[in-house]
Amino acid sequence: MKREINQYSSPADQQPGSSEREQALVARVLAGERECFAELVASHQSPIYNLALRLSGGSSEQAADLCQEIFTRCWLKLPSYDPSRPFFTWLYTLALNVIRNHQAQNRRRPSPLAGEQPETAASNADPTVALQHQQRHEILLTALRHLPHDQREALLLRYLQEFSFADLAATLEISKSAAKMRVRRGLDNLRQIMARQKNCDL
Amino acid sequence: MESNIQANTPEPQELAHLLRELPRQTPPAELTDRIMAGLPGRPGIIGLVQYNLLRPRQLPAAASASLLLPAALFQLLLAAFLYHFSLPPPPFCPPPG
Repeated sequence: MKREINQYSSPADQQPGSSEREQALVARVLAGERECFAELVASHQSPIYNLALRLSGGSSEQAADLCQEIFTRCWLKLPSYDPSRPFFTWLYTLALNVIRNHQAQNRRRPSPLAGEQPETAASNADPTVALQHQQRHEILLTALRHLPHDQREALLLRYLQEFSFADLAATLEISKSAAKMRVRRGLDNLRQIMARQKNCDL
Repeated sequence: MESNIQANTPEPQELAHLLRELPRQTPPAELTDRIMAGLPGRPGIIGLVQYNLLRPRQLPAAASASLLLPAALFQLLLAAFLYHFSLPPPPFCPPPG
């Protein structure tokens, strides 16, 4: 259902055997077949773009810039990729590092997640329901903006990108229990922030 | 009132559901081409490949040149120092008168 609405596939939605396919693609890129890299880009650009959009400044141009930087880094670092690790967790670790560096360099810019409005998923639904959805999303995005960066990363990877805890732990390069703890803490903090926001609104 | 606010705030499970529901944005249609071909001032993958093919030996050469100059200066100073102390002492001249 969600895929129909958003035309989006997270790493968790990938077909069985896609990991082997990706390993084969990486091997071919390293052997000099440049066109295969375009296939890797095409299969990962949408989730990486959305992650960049949510974690960085929120403008689509900035997210596209970050995407370009992430895949350029990926190309340059591909010879150091360890094939015993799933390709997408390696790519996401690299992507998070690029986004963190970008955040560190642009601390004085407007706060993250405050950019363009995302496409509405329920465009064909009842306008009242669509408006309620949009309001809920705006409240959620505002609260996310106030979360510590590591917890925001964990929540977005776990729920927006639908990572398993094992993949989340591999991407964040922490233990599985630490990943679970970070998500739990993120949800608790998010709840407290939303409660404070409501308190301020009243 | 505080407890009412807490009660109306979504539970963590509900928050997880809301996060899953966040709409995804479709990237620009030309993003793959842009990543591969680059933009003016921002080389893409194809540009990087061409750079590596055209100039494979210039980067190490440039790096070694930057190390060569300080090394040469150091050797020059060392040679001057050793030469100075290897000279025989000046001949003894009795003070005038």
